Amino acid sequence: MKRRITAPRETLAELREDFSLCGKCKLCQGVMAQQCDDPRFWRNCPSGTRFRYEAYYAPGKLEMARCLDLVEIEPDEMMQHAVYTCMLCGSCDDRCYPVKQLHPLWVLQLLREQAVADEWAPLDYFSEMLSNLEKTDNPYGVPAGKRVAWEKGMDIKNALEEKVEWLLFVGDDYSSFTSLTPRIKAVAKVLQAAGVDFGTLGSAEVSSGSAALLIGDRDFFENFADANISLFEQAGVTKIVTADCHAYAAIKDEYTKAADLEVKSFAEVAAQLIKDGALKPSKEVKVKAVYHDPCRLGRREGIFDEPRAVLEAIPGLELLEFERARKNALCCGGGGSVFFWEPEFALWVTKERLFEAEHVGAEAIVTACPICVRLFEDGIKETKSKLKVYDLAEILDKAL
Amino acid sequence: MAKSRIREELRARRVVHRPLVMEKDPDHNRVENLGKALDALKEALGEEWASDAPSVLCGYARDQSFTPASYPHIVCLPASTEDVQAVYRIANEHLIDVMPFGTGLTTAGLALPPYGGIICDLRRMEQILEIDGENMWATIQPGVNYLFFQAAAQQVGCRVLNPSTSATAGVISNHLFCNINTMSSKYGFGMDNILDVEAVLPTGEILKTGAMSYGAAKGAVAGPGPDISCLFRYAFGTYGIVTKMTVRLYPEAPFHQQIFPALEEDRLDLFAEALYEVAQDNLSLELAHLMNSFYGIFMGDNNKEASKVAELMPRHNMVTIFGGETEEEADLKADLTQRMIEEKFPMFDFLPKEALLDMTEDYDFIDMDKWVKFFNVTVRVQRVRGSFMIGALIDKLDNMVGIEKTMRTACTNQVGTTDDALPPDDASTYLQPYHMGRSAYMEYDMYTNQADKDDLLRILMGYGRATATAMSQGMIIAAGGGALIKGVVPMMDLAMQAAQPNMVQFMDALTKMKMALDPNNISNRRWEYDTGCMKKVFL
Repeated sequence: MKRRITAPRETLAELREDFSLCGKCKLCQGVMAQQCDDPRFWRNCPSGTRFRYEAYYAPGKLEMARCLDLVEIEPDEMMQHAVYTCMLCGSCDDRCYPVKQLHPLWVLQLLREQAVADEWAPLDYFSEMLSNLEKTDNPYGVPAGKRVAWEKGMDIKNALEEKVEWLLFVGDDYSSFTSLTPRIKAVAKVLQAAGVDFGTLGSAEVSSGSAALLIGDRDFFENFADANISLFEQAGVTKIVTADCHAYAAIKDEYTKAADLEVKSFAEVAAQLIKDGALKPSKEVKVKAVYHDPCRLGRREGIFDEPRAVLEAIPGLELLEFERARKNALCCGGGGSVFFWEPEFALWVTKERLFEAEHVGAEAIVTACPICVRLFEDGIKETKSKLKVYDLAEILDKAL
Repeated sequence: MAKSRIREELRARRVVHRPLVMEKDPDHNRVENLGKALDALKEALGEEWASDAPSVLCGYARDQSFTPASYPHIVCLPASTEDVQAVYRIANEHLIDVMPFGTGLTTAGLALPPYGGIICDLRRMEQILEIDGENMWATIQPGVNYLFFQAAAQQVGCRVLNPSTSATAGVISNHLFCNINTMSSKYGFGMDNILDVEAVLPTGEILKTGAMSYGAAKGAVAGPGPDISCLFRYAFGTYGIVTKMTVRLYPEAPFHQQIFPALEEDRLDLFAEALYEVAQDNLSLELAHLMNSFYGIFMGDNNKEASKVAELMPRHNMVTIFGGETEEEADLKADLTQRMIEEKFPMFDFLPKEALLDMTEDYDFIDMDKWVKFFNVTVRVQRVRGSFMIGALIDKLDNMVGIEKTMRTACTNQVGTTDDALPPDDASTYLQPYHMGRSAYMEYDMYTNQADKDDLLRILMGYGRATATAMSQGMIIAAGGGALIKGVVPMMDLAMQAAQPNMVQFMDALTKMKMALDPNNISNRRWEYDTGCMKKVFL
């Protein structure tokens, strides 16, 4: 019998208190009030900012959940659009929970799961991604053999063939896009430079399932979680490091319910290696760089200081901050799998973030998420901006 | 579209909240006209900016109050004054009601459409059109909220008066609805700081008041002529939609100092006297009496933390914040005030900033700089979840002393909806002198769970009792709308009759103006033209 990764499964109705007790104070629409110094950057809900109806902000979606629960309304096309253009960035959750102890993000995720269960999710828009996952175990349709192309020329152990201390979980994006190849190579080079004993699952690694989970298809997600956990067990590893923060969140928040795993993001590991003296960035990288907090790594997992510690250790690098930084960070546009359905809207959000980077005087954006890197690169092409984009590992590797 | 797999029996007994039909005006909001109005709105505003999808409508059917759901038929989002004119033109043509929606943050169902119709969501009109730091005024649109506006004002060395509400509340709608400031009522309330407005009347005509009417220099006085900006105060859209407003700003003090006079003994009379003395000295920037629980609400980031602070603090606390161009100026003002209180009120304890820091050193959530910024820069956050109802009254400080306890008992607030809610005994009011005088503003808040009928009823009765107590003793309801809405609770109607015998003539006058400005009675249609009464908002 297949193991249940998320047992007992939560359902939308269990969050009745959250969606019924929303006071509609609208604090969730903006950044933390006491940390807003520039009025240009007060907004923080991507879908609400673009589409403007209450339905596109968290209170409107909580109200939808309530009305579905009360059987006041039936799902309609606007509901589909509102639910699936939410980037699940968690900004609303971060504003609401400290004040009201409500979790809008949980409701939003479970609304999508309810949509899939009740068959009103707009899965047609995600059919290519779902079909790719079915055929190739990868949301972008890259076959297993090609997903290890980045390892060519590098001496990387296969954790299924020899015992390693750490498993490097590569993730969907790094293994699928050639533009990201130098970045994942940099991750491996940094770990090698520090003498970390690590390996990968090679072509056996399948998607973390994060893309399926984001659109609410938890059953499908569990297939991937099950497959990966079996591989972890087969390799005998319990310590996992990944630079893909969507995979990181999926493994840390979901897989660990069914398996005893120690999961670290690359940023955490790199910061610790620098602190321990195992890594000594010595080459100067002269650039004014602003760090973009990926939603999954920052707000979701609370990793704000470690990537900054890495950047502060790089000689010559002048670290800047966005107006909306840390818990106030704006999504890059790549959250919630929205770009599969509404790529123009995703790009609109990316451009807003690029504008903000230029506004604070940055020459480069550094981030720690492959989806953010991709979106920023697309945005730069579109806007012809002179900004450069670096993955955290990439810029650290330059300094070694 | 696939049907959701909802249990059939539940579907069979579903209760769909649809707008009431007003028997006296059966021609309003007729089904056959709604489709035509929607098409016309889409043509005027753009396809994207009008919708009748139930999933969109449901977001406008409830608010923070415990008013039952009331769905609009259509929601539209105009982007300009011309768009708002188009909305009214279409609404008149098809006899559809219009309800303005600033940011939708109300505690009394005021932006809910009682009979459906069109919700006019004004959040696309969100520009600060002009801001003048030297002369301290700004002209804004109705979608501008305090979070945005405060940050913009600070960039020109000014600040906006902070209302006792969320940072994301609309500035124009709050100014029109009194705008009771958290602690700056020495400058009056928000409604005292309106310089001029541009409004679209229900007929679609544009009315400009004050300096805006003839393009004069702003910031001096509200003229020329009778100031009809007042027509829109407390009107909740019944006379039209305000599309621009010029409001006063105040200087932002770069340096702050604070003192904390306190009294453990339950002697509100002494405290009222001390408040008056400090207000009269006019050295403080912010001044309020806070009971320990309110202190907790302001200082803690959540209810658990609020309870810890409440236990720590004396029963009565005076929050006194001073501002200055230099640190020395702020310190001097604080020192002078402290000496005055020590001399005249020797029974007061004094909690200097350092002592407060010592007392709270174990609580890492208490950040004194944040605390000052909280009052001066940002606004109060709303802490307790669930429905919220505010009671706000103005009277002489001396009268309040007698009434406060009775009211507090009657309206026992902060009703626990969760384990970590403040205990009911910590429920409290706060007082602040109004305009440096002996009059003061008192607020009492009630929180309840919309999903709990018993809790709702208890709170509603408590609110009615508290308000009736206050009004029967001659207090003024600061939130003026309450006085005009008959049928909130029967006791309140009785209290209105007892306390304000001239209400009938007043309502007649308002109705005549309403009939002149809105012949089809489409704009926030709560008035009945034949009885001259506003329809009850809920129950």
